[in-house]
Amino acid sequence: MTKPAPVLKIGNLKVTYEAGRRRRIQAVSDVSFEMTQGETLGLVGESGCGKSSIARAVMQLPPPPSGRVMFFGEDLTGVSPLRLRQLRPRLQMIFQDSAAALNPRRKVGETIAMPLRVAGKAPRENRNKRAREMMSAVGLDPALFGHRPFQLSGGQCQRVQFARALMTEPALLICDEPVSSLDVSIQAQILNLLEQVRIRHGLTILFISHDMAVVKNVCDRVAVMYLGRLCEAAPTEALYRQPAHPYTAVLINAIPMAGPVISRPDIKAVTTDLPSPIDPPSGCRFHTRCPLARDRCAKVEPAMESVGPCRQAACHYPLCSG
Amino acid sequence: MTASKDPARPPLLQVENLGVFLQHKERLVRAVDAVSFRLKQGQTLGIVGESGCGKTLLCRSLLGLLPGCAAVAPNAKAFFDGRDLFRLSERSLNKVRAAGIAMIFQDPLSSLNPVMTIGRQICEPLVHHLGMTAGKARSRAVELLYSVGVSGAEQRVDQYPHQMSGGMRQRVAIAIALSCGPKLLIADEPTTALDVTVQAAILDLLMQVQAERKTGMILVTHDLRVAATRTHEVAVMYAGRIVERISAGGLLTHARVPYTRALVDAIPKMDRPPHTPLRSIEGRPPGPAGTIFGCAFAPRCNREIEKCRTRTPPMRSDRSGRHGYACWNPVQEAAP
Repeated sequence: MTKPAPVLKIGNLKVTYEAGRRRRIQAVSDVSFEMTQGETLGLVGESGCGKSSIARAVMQLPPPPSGRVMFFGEDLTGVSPLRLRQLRPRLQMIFQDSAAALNPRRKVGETIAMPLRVAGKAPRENRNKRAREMMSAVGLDPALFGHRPFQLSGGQCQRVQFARALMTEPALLICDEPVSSLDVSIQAQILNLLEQVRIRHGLTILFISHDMAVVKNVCDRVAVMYLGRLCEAAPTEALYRQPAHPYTAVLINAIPMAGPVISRPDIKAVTTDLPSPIDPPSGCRFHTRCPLARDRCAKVEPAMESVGPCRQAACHYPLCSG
Repeated sequence: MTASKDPARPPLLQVENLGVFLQHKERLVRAVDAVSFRLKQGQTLGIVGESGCGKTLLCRSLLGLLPGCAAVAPNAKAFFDGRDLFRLSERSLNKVRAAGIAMIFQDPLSSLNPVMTIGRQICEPLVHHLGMTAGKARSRAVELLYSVGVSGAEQRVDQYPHQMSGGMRQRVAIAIALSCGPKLLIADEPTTALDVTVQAAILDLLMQVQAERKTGMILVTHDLRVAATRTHEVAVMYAGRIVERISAGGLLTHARVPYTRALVDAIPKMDRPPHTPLRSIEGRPPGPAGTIFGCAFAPRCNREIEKCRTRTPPMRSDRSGRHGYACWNPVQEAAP
């Protein structure tokens, strides 16, 4: 069995933000992972852990200060602006807040056709025809072409985002909390749509969410982040069956349960307060909240190590080991 | 979870035929319609439904906190402690707001005053309603902060809301709500704006407070899993009406109204492998503007019969009287 080349490979990615008074927030520090063709990778963690920063760094919005973002073997951080422009259509993103992601003054049909215009690929009639076809494909009535976003519901706006993202036949789709602002019944519609387009377009998807139940439903593999660092990466079923990192266990334990209850670890964080990302804790960043922390955790930073088939965790005392 | 089984005791809150009208483009629309329920002391009633179903208006109407464009229907009644909340003078209503009913809002960042220290905000009701001196109120504020799990409360009282995390702010909001010892707590989506781990902690806190103080609680949420695990009884709302009233334990398994069933089915299940298609509800809830004939859910329902489009289904009860459903063609009782 030959391993297909990774669609996306991130190496030692670092993202920092100015925080005033010469301080810097380390939003993402030293994160590496890769995604293979057709895979859906879930990126989970609490707000402020750096999930969206990774998404933006991959999109080069703006380019990250250090680290590599390899897209089909090409380092996006090092290519010329022209080359980046050529590659962009293959990378698309869907945002959480569709009201902010769509231009309120533009007809939604034109919004959907816009990527083709930017790529300079087709004359207007052609673009609009493609846009109408795409609208039907994502379950939007093409008659809504001339509507503005405020005339549509939240679910419809999210479909507009899908249509826009799919216009340029992307290889990689980044979904940043695509369903968090939607009601359950609409959420199910959009998640089913995501599944449909994934199969139809053979997409590789980076799925960012804080909802562990949604991630379980959507993703093949899950990467857990805490305060800018990766703490565990594992195939979905294995991760939920037996988390290795105590933080993963805390997250799983916090899901309100419905239906048949899966067995889950009885672990709760010592406190719900997140330490400051300006001055992250020494050693393992989770040690201030970890119920299982020992002396070593405050001193030595754990590295990502194998804890089973295809799975890694950054913990000195993982809950399970290979 | 021990509720007083004494039948002679009147309920803490009894709402009858509550309707809320909303001004919508020169027209009055019914945003909440014919809502009736009872809540006993020491019990939690969950109200679930999608956005726009009237959950928030329902809660706000009880405290006289409706926005200017909304009004309570004239025949509505809400007995709290034997008095009808809708027929109280502003002055008496203020007394109820002080020591009777307290509300916790969804977003603590907008419900707390950003330019006032949290200490002063907790002291305000203590001084204003209970007549405490400033010094006494301050030490009571510290106690309250400790009781809702704020560590280092002596230092925290002098902080401003922006200096705290979202979870901490919601704890402060709960402390303010508890300050005058209310008999009824109304929590309107208290954890929606918070992280999952914080969410669980805040819900734990609310349950603990409710059990310790034996207060009644109305917990409004859009998350059926929260309703099923954190309440005693659940009322499911759709388009302004209560369509099902069911014990929390039965919500996920024994619901009889197709809408409730569909909501349960739409939740991603933890025991299914990735990429399992979800059962979604087609279409979307009706807006408040349209006139509804018959059952509001009929256009989205898979059990629709002829009657559904013409006549509004009344609330019926099962033999025990504890399970109510408003549906012409309910799912059979012997649930799968």
